Parts: sequence; C-alpha cells; structure tokens
Amino acid sequence: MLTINEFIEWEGESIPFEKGDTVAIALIRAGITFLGNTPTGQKRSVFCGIGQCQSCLVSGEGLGETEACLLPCRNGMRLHYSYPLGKEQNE
Amino acid sequence: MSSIPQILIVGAGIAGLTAAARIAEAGAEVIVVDQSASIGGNFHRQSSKGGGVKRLKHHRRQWERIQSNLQQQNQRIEVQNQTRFIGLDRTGSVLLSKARSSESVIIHPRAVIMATGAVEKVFPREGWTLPGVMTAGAIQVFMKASGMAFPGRVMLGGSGALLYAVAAQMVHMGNPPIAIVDESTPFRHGLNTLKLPSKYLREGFSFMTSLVKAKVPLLTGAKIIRLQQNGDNKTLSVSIMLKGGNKKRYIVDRIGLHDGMQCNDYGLTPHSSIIVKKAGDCRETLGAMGAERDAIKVADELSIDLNIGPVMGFSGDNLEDCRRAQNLLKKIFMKKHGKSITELEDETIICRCENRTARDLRELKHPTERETRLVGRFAMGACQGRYCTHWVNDYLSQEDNSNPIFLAKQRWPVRPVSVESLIGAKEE
Repeated sequence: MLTINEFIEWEGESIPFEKGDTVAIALIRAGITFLGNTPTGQKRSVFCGIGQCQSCLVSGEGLGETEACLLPCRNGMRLHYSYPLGKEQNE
Repeated sequence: MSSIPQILIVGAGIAGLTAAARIAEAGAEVIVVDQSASIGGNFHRQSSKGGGVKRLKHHRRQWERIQSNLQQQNQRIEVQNQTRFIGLDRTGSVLLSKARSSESVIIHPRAVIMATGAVEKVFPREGWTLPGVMTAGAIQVFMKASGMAFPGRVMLGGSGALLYAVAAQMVHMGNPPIAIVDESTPFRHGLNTLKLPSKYLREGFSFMTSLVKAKVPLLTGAKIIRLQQNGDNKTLSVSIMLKGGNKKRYIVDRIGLHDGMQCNDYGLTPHSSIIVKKAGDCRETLGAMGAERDAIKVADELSIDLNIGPVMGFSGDNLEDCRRAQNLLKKIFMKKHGKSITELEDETIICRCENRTARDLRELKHPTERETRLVGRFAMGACQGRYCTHWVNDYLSQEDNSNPIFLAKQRWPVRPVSVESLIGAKEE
C-alpha cells in the first residue's frame, strides 16, 4: 500500500503525518514531547489526549491557541508554540 | 415554535449517538455537537487507516449498532463536528463555538442531553506535569486513532482496570509497555474477582494472558515516588518503591498515568429553564455497555417529558448490574494509599493549569470553597478543575471532616472560549 506522506510544519520543522492524524498524533509519532511554555512558565505537552486538559495548546494558521489533540493535520499547515519562549513572566 | 422539538446533544460518543437515534425515532429533531473531527467519542475512536487496536466482539457489535441506528434516523439528526458546547444560561440560550474560527452561535433547543463522557483521574505525583507524562487513556487514544503502536519506551502506572486494558492493547500493537506499576494489589481479591460478570472475567483473563505471554513486568503494590526530566531533555526517570520497600528506577520516553475515572460533568450549571439531562459516563461511569443502556433510558425519559413517542421497549433499566460490576472493579483495583494527598511534598503541583502546589493548599488554613478557588487559585485554570478538583476535595475533607467543602464544578464555561468569540456570538 503506497502511503504518500503529507507534512505539517512545527516550529519550522517538517513533520510527516498520515491521513486522519491530529497534530498531537503527528507530533507523538515524531517523538516530540515539549510543546512550548505557558505565559507563567509551565511546560506544555500532550497529557489527556482528548481535549480536556488544555495542556497541548499550540498556535498558528490564525487559530489562536488550540488543542493539538483536536486539530486535524492539513498538508502545509504551520504551527508553533502558543507563547514565545523566553518571554514568560515570573510569579 | 415548531411542534417538532429540537434537541441538542453534546458529545458524539456512545451515549450521545445512542440517545440521538432514540430520541429522533420518537419524533424529535436532533443536533449532535462534538469538539473533535470525528464521531465515536473516545471509546470508539476509529483509525482512518483501518486495523488498529483489537476490539472485543461485543464492543465491535456495539459500534456497528450505533452507526446503523444513526443511519436509520439520519433525516432527523445533524452531526456538527469541531463544535464546542460552551454553556447554557437561565433563559435556555445555548452557546456553541466553532473550533477553527472565532464564530460563536446562540441556539435555543427545547432540551439538552449532555453526553460528554468521562475524564481520567491522575494523582498529583512529583513531576507529573513534565512533558512526556500522559494519561494511560491518551496512550490508548493514540493507538486507536493512529492504528499504530505507541512509539518508544513507555511505562504505565497508577491503579485501575484501564491500565491492564491499555497494556494488553500495547502488546497487541507490537510495543508492550516496559513495565506496569500498579499501586493497588488486585490479585489479593480473588473472591471479588470471581463475582464479576463473565464478560468482564473473560476480558480480564485475555488481558492477563497477553501480558504474561509478552513477559511484561508487573509491579503490584508498588508506588511511583517521582518523575524527573533527564539531561537529554527527552527521556524521563521514574523512581519507584517496590512492595517490599526496595527502590527501582526506570528510564522511559513516556509514562501513561491513570488513577481511575470520573464524570466529565464540569461546567454544567444546574439552573435552566429548559430540560437538561446527562447520559452515559458523564452522569455515572458505568463503562461502554452501561453508557448505551443509560442513553436509551435518558432518551425515553426525555420523550415522555416532551410528550413525543412512544418508543417501544422502554424497560425501566436500572443499570444495577453495571453499577455492581464497576463497584467490584473499583474494590479490586483500589489503591491503598488513602492519606497520600495530605503527605505530598510541598513542591508537588496539584493544579496543573495555575501551577498551584501542595504548599499553596496547606497555606490556606480552613478555607471556604470560594477562598480555595479565588485566593488559592485551585481549579481556576483552563481545564476548569477537571484534573485537580478531586484531589483538592480529598485534601479539604481530610483536613476537616465535620464540614466537608467541595469545589464547585458547576460554573460555566464548560470549556474555554475567547472574548472575541463571545462578543461576536450571533443568534442562529
């Protein structure tokens, strides 16, 4: 069975995905765990996988913050950390 | 107002789709909304590739039945994917928001059935908020949705029957867990196990056979002490205390934690001028078959309330057998560390969203419910307390048994919504 890989772009890196993958699934396949920081410095990652914990928020494509585990991959979509690294406020 | 009632159902999983077909059959028009891009919820999450996790025959049959009933009523049912239920106000106005735009709409259904399922409980262990730490259910959802094994060295830990289901599925998919750390001692409950209905026993037996064949190390009565990020910023160190008191350390790529299930009924405000019902796991966690039966019961009750139908076969199912089986499973897989919430290290994070620690909780001396939230900031973050409320309530009730405080779960929005979206909300 021929599988033609399509790609999303995560933080500038090309990540392949299979048809029907959410962004979270594609990132897990690629071995990526760290999804950026929150404005208060907590680390984002896929935790619950079902759109309830709000830990896996990513940004891009004019979406604002959105859950990676609910966002279907589309070829060429460009995503990045929901908050720029290094700009976190300390408590 | 049309004499054909319009019903909103939140969640296109087992309960939502079952209730939809049943109430449509009684004569209602139904809109089912789901935040995800597909139907089936979490239990019947499908892989677009086909294949995937091995499903038991009665579960496969359930999904076929659900799809067939849905198809039969498709003239009366509209499924809207990537649509989030935000809340319901006292006038009966419902706010829905679309995922990929800032569009919110306001609709006025005659009744709402909430079928938002369950979420997992995860005990706040040291390091549980590190990247690479997931729930056992998230590991399972990956396998179901991708049709592939979960990659890397993966450990499962906590307590509950789900650990064994996920572990067996991982074996079947070709990458067994490197170990299961079960903080309970299920094998001490031989007599209780025999009381389970035969379907559960067969299921459990088949899981155990898979795990034994694959030689998956099973550490029962052990305890996960801490999780730490390793210097490579990718792998995690898991420190475990074994049943005998010895310590052991594992290096893993991911760990799936699980400490039981809870109803995902957060954010549902109790007052409304329209009928609101809960069906399935969000009302009571009774498992997949229980959710289907509960949904039929709730849809039939609603058809009576709305004076439509009748639907043949209303049996007054009390689901007592499901309840008994779930309670038995809880007994068998009960973790024996009852007081551990009060023994947490100061630095352990309890509220993930707001970064609130055990110390922050201790510093609130005998707080009221409002103080715990507004001063302590517990359960005030984006997840609306889904992952910390249970433990905060545990802690507070142990501190002061005479006056138990429970953090309010009922405050909208059910899930985050942007201000821009709220302002732009339009009547449909």
